[in-house]
This record gives sequence, C-alpha cells and structure tokens, in this order.
Amino acid sequence: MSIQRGLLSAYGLLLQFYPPPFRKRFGTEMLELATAAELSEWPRIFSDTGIAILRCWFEGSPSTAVLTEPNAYVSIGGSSVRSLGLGFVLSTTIIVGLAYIGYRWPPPCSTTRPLLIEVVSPPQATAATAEVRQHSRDRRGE
Amino acid sequence: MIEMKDRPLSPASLHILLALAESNLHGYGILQSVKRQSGGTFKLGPGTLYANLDRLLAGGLVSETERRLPGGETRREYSLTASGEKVLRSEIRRLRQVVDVARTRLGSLDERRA
Repeated sequence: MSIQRGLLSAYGLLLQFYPPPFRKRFGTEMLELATAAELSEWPRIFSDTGIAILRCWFEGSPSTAVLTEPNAYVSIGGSSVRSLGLGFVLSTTIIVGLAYIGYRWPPPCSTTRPLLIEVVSPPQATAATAEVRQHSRDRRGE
Repeated sequence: MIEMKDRPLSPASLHILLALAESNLHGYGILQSVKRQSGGTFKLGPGTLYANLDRLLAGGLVSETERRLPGGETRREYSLTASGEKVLRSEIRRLRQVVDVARTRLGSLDERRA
C-alpha cells in the first residue's frame, strides 16, 4: 500500500512537467486513472506519461496552442533589420548584465566591520593524555 | 478547430473513437473498452489517452460533459460527436480498402508460390 502511495506521489510529481494548461485540464483525471493501476502497470504508466510530456512540449498540444500561435509573440521591430538590431542589443545587454553579476558575486567583504575571531582554549592535558604521549615517544625510540 | 478529417487517424485515436461509438465513457472506461475491443493487444497509457483526447476534443470529434454522480461528485464523460462519427466511418472505409488490396495481393502471392 505504501509502495502504491509512493508511486502515486512520484506520478503526481511527474505530471507537474506537463504544460500548465494541459495539467489543469487533465491532471486530476490522469491521477485518478493511476490510482486504479496495478503494481505491474506502473513501468508502462511512467514511460507512457514521460514520452507524452516530451511530445506535448515539442509537438505542442491543442491545450497549449495559444502559445504557439504566431500572433502570440510580440514583434520587437517593424523590419527584419530593425528586429535583428534590437535583438542584438537586447542579447548583449543580458549577456553583459549576467557577466557583471558573475564578476561581482560573491560581494566583497566589508572592511568597516571587524572580523570576530573566537579564541578557543586548548583542552587541558590530563594524566591519560600524558601517558599516551609517553607511549608514543617510547615507540619512536626517543 | 484543427482539421483532422483528411488525415488518417492514429491507432490510439481510432481505438478511442471506436470505444466511444459504443457509449459515452470517462477516461478509465475508455482504457478498459480499448483493452477489451483489441483483445488485450492494444493497451493505452494515461499519457497517450489524454494527449489523443486533447486533439480529438480540439478537432471537434469528441465532446465532453460533466456528469453529477449520486454522491455529489462530478465526472467528466466523453462522447462521439456527429463529426467524429463521420471521420470514424471514413477511416473504416479507408482501412477496408487497404484490407481489400492486401487480401488480393497476398492471395496472388499464395497462388504464385503454390
């Protein structure tokens, strides 16, 4: 029973990889179907759903069709030359910005704040410690 | 609406439409019906089932309705539309032609070997 519950949780996690509109529409039903599955059917369910998710993203699905419509994209330039120029400027800005963040990160330590150094006193030598030391000295032949 | 009328149906879509030609069904019912009608040789997984249902719904070949159960819960049922029935009939006609050609050619192949 706990294996079935674990598999269901894993399957629920796998369903999160579907595009949100598809998941919202069919996710609950798919989970219901999986609840009725026998243990031997799980490998097929996972492989089938995994492939279906990849196909859903790469081939698109009617539920996500609005994203793949040409009009869904916002044009950034009137002509292709202008679009290319704007695209170049935008890409350069992003790359330079990320490079700057990478260069500055982690931020340098503040020099105005003094570093706190905790001085830890060594443990007191006991009779047992002295005996161990003597024993190691004897072994070395000192 | 996606144009699906001129294209051959995928095996999964064909089996789903055939299952819905018998009665209105929910997801689990479709899986069971497909398993039964194919003699257990064609088993649909939930991923394939709902990817195909999504396309069939968008193509107008299948429609969905919410049915309220006695316990107060709702269940989504799928049914074959008139357009879906038309596409299914046309697909069966196409497959029949393929079977006729196959029968003739394999028959002549048997005669040549005999």
